[in-house]
Amino acid sequence: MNSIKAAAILQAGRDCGADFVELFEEETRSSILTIKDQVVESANAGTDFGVGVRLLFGTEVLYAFTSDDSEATLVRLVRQLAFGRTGVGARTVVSPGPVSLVSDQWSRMRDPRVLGQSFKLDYLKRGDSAARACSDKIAQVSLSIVDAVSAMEIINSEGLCVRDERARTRFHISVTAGQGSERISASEAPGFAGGYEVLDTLNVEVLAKRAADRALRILSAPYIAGGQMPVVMGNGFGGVIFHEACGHPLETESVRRNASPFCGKIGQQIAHPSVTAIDDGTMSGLWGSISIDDEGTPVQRTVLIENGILKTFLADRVGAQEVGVPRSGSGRRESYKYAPVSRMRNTFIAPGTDSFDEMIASTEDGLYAAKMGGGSVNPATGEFNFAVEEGYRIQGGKLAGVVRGATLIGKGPEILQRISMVGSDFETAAGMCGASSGSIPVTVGQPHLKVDRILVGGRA
Amino acid sequence: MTQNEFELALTFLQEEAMESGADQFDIVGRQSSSVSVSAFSGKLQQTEVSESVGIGIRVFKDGAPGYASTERLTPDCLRQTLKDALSHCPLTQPTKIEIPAPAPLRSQPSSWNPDLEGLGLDQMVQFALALEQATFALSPEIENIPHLGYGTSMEYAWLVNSKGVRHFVRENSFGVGIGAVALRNGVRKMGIHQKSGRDYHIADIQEMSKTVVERAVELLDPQPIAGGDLPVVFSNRVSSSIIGMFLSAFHAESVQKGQSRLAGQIGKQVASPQFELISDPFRFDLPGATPIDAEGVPTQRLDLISNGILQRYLHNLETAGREGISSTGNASRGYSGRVGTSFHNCIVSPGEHSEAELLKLFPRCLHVVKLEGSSGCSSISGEISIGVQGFFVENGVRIHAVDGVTISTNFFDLLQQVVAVSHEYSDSFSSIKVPAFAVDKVSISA
Repeated sequence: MNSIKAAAILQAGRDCGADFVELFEEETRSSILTIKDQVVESANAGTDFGVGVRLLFGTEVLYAFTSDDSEATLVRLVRQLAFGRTGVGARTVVSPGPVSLVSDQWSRMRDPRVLGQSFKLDYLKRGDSAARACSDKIAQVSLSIVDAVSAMEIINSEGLCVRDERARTRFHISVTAGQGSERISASEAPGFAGGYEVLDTLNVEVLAKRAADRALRILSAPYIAGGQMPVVMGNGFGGVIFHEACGHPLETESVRRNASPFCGKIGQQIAHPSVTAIDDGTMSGLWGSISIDDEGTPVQRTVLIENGILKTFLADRVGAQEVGVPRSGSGRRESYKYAPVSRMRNTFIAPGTDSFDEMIASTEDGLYAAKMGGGSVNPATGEFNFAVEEGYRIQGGKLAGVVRGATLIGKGPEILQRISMVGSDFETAAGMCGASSGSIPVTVGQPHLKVDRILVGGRA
Repeated sequence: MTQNEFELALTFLQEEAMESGADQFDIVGRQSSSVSVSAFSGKLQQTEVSESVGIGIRVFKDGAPGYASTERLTPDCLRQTLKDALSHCPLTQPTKIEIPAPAPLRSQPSSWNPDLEGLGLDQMVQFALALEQATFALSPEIENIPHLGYGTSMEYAWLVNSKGVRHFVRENSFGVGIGAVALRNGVRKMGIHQKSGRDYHIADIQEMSKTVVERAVELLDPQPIAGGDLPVVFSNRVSSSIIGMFLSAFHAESVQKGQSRLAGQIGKQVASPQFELISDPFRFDLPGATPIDAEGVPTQRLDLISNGILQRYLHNLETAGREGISSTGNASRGYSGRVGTSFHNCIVSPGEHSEAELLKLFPRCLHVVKLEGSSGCSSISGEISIGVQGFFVENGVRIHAVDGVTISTNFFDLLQQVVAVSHEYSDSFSSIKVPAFAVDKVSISA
């Protein structure tokens, strides 16, 4: 953004009495190519563009966004937002400094905007063929590759003026297996920070076979008999349960509303001593990694829980001020259409020393939740609900048959205390996280771990 | 951006598309704005004002479609968008779609309430703060109100195509919502209540505070129940969510692509005779009302399930073209997405009972008033495995609150097991209207 225009908008915010004014300008080019029924179902591309203006009065947030980047519109919106507030005494606006580029991603990126959608076709067709080759019970295969390349500029009344550029690419395959009128779907969806160079790191045939084999296994599986039981959680996407049940309540956005069971518990033992949990935005190439957050704060590795003791919360600018913890480079938003709030990046339970075999052998009667589906949590009450996409009964310390229809429900703080074994086989998985500042890319992760008791929903 | 400036951008893209060599095209445009406030702990916490625009185009070249969209409406960006869309055509398969010409449409009452333009930020703030205060005042057990917001939004929407359709509609609405947490003996429960629609006078502080407090407090002191099969009454607070998760099974696209268990079921009994499902675009009091779909096809009222028998699937031009039939006028599309399918107001017909009477149909039942997310539900398999909260009821009398239980069933079995439907709908301003309904047997884990 032109620095004279930026200064004028910042000044308009200060003239309304705001303590802090920030501009966030973004342009994102995205595209998606989808194959279904062995043909290209859809090819789409788009340009998102707009500017967000944030005014802070103490910790009160005033936010406006528009796709019109003219100075007149932005100043008008600032005044509308402040509805009649005026500054008390003279306030000096610090002129935006020179733009500094924080990302070094571009030098090695194979740019989706240059290579175009046809570049994706081979990967998608290979995945389709591999999945269909698994069985004649494969009823449908849907695959897509979505990419987005964003350029954003963050300018604020403290003199910050930074430009970041981000690229993300994600492959998705969903395989439906059928028998009679029954239909079961299973999916894989790895995602990375980067352009099309990341596609070369994927073995699409392995991913397709993994999804197809899982759908076929579940298709012939009986329903689990529900009840309270020990659960061994799968590594990788199993980390979604920590993300939802504990990660969200560790964001200052929940804490500042007194809507977290972890309020006031820094320094206290909130989890089993075997649990160390980290949110790390610096891990190169991971789906949830960023160079700076959406407030311009350099990203960092944040230890949330160390040996069961709560160390800090994930904090954006407003959350840090209200809750009294340092900013962690966690202010994130889906786009210019959202004000930033504290959000997770790559969140995981750190590896321990137990083995998967030991966990199974120590379980007389339980569930191995090999692949989790999605889930949700109410941070204010801690209540969560997760689907298990693929599960196995554990009987007599051994893995028994595959089961379907399992759901895990409980309360996050209680589950943290019931983790008794943490494996060494750490993995991560990509996901999308939805909250008040929109849907953002995040990574979840963990090694296998054992929870001594969870309510497993199933058929009686 | 003014409405006039937006229309000029739309016309510019239309003219460029006309000269591009495309066989045919259609364009959707959206211009929207919103204002909202949220309050917490006696103070205004956040204010938001927005103005946004977007245009999406679908072009056909040699019969094959290509899509692209933009939120930047400069001539260069609009030209690039058209170029992007045309570049996608060689990748896709030719279709038998013929974009429709203008047709007579059923007249539609205005979806625009001019009163809402006069609803200022200060009024919204005052209402929110008063609602918070009233809610705390009603019960000492209300510990926290983490969610409290009030907002208005407006949208102008255009559909333009190469056959001369130029349809414009504008609508506005308001919404106010509150989530309150009650605490007793270390147990926290959240009640949620919201009002939305076109007439903001229906939001009443006394009614809203009373309802949200009741919904939070009534779930305190939950007691365990035994697992096993039990009749379930789905309250009208959750019935729309349950049905809404499985609506794609009625889309012809799902059927054609092997992802609906309703494939091959037209003319067959797929639900109990008490269950009737309708798509009604002419319920102009609901937000899904429209005389025209997203491809320019006139809409119609459609019976999907009558007396428990499946009557049809919902089609857009593409799915209808595959079967050599006419579209049912159920295309949907946002400016940045491809054409899909949707109900235009999904309505389950009313039964003869009140919700209270449904509870008396069984000696014992579970009255479900809250669903814990939706991740244990699959529209493809029909699986439902989900945590719920509610009440254990004996002979119509509420005995105690229940949490920490899950229900497990299959949606397509559930439809067959409906024993009665209520005539009481929730007052939500929603395009899915389902009254409470009773099912004779669901598996419960506890």
